[in-house]
Amino acid sequence: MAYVQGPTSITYTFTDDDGASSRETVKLPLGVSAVNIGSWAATYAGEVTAVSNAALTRYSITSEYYDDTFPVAAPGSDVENKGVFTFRTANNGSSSLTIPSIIEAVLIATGTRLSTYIDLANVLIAPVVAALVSGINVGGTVIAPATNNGIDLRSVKDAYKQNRSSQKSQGNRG
Amino acid sequence: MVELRFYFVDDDLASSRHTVYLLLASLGSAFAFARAYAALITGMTDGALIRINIITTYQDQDSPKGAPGSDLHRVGVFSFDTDNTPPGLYVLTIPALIEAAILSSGALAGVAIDTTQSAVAAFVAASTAGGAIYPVAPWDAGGLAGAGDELSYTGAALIALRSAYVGETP
Repeated sequence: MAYVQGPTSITYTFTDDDGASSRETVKLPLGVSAVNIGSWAATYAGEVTAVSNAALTRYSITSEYYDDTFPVAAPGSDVENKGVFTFRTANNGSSSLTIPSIIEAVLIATGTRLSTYIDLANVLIAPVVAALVSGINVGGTVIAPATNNGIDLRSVKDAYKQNRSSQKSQGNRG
Repeated sequence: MVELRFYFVDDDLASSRHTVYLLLASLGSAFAFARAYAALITGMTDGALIRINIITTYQDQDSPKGAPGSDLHRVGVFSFDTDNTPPGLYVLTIPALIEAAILSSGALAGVAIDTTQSAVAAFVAASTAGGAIYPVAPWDAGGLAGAGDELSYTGAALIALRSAYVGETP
């Protein structure tokens, strides 16, 4: 697979004196470097706030990469069959994430947890859990995911398969 | 905080996403992580991974509010010609437009935006092609080519301001 950079979007979020919020999105052309995207977004934020008396509370840069081989899902795949992983976090809380269309081969095959729970020792699962807890070495730097509040993931508390609803007919790839 | 969104489709083309968060990763290192991580998670799903979005958010920790009397529903509507043939129109709106940006005399007083006002002129200049980096309309300069068009996506540059006026949004 080869990931190709798609459009970059920058969304500015404003708040007025009533606390109401509003967003404005601009897009950048292809081929702009990551460094230049960041500096342009910050500069443009200054231009935008000069013509508004609302407060700019935040802005987000979304860089999109898509697989230009346009992969096709396996017959019988179903994104509503999710692998649910709940992690213990560094602040003694918990945090969950899901993997769509989890394969049957990673489920526990025998015993009372038959076909419901995920086998954490499975050769496909263990590396993913390790990446989430311990991180991945990227160019000499280990980068480890966290919760959306920035709390480290420590260990798997629970992992199972569950059917959960998803968006339908949203798979348009252009 | 960097958010990574992995988008999957199944054989019915229903879609679902998987999200992880990273602390303080640059876009380049976030992409490198995303590629390595994608190779791991695609082994445990029979859905197809079609897209990765990397979202970097910058937030004002002071949670500022707008100036007294500011109103997000009172917007500046800026219409730009794009470099399509024939030209398209792309609209950028600015919430809570400052009063100083609105024409105060003449037939269009209170309706049109004064494009010579310094902040307005700077915004328009930053929004139109000419610099090294400029915003684009979300369609190709040559027009949409149909399926697979993302492969040739360029974005249509905003080349000139067509009109600028005050609007009210719900």
